[in-house]
Amino acid sequence: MLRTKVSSLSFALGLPLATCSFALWAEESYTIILKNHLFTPAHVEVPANRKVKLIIENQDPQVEEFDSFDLNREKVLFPNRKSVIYIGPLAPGEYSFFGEFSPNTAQGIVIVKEPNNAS
Amino acid sequence: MLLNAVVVSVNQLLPVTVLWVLLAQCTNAALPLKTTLIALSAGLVGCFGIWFLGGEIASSFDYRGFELLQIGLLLSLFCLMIATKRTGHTALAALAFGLAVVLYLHHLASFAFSYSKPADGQTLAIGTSLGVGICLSFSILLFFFLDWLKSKHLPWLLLLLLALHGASKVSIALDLALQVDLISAARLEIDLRQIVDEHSVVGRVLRVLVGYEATPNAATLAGFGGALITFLGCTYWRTAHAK
Repeated sequence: MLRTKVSSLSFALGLPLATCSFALWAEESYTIILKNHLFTPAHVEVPANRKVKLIIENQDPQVEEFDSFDLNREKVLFPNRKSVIYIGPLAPGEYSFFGEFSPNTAQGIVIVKEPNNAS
Repeated sequence: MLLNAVVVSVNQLLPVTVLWVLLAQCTNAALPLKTTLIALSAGLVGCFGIWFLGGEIASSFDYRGFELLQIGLLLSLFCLMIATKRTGHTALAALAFGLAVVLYLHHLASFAFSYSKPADGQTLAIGTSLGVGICLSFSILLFFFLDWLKSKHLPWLLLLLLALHGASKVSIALDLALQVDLISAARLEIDLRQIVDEHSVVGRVLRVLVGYEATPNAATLAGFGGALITFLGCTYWRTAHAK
């Protein structure tokens, strides 16, 4: 009987805690592929005022450098490797990024929208 | 490719040559040519090490390995700059210079190795030579400008420039920590892009000299301020004790 009460109590307490912790740790991630010195997708829509994770896969045989003055981010992308960058929380607007070693082709924009407007 | 090689080489070489000039003019530990070459060679060996192991390092620690390495190098550089200013030991200045070579020139080494195809080799070499020339010209001008400041008895200005440069290493380290979610920071409503854009020549030079950021966040701003006070406090404490 006591064990059942304890189990019920722990379930009742545990479920909201688990949900809360999931909400705290949940993070939205967006994958960008770099191939033939082009970022795909070149336009990434993310929600405003939230931290989001960008996963960048460099599928080119050369090293590249993800660079963004607007986002204050700079990251070496090693060939055939995955890289992770966190951005935000950001105000709505457009934030450009580019590949420093191929700036004419490797370009992209992070479009930050209010959560209701983000796709 | 030519313009790209110039831009990449200027971006990566300028912080190294500026550090050399600041150490020479703002501390009592000017590096002789031989020591500079030894530190440069050791740094280049480090660059090759990063080139070979970079992929493995980047994938380690849940894709945070490369940033952790850079943060370690930046904070070590900050401490070495304070130590050099306090003690005037040439060995510390040489170590700081060597770390800066590893920190900044591994980008250039990666670029050169990745894009040095036979067709682009000559263009790459010309572009890099032009970049080296621009960096050396700027650094020579900076050297003599700081020398003129010294002759005008403005040592506090030199100390302030060295402290601002040192503090910029801490703010870059904090940006890297934010980049891989080691810390969190509140967004600030500061946007100076309309005044001086980081893309512009002035913005890039200011970034190298004093860590200028057009859109700073709370963590980097606080870190920059804290590092500046720490730097000035440590060197002033030394000066006060010397008296």
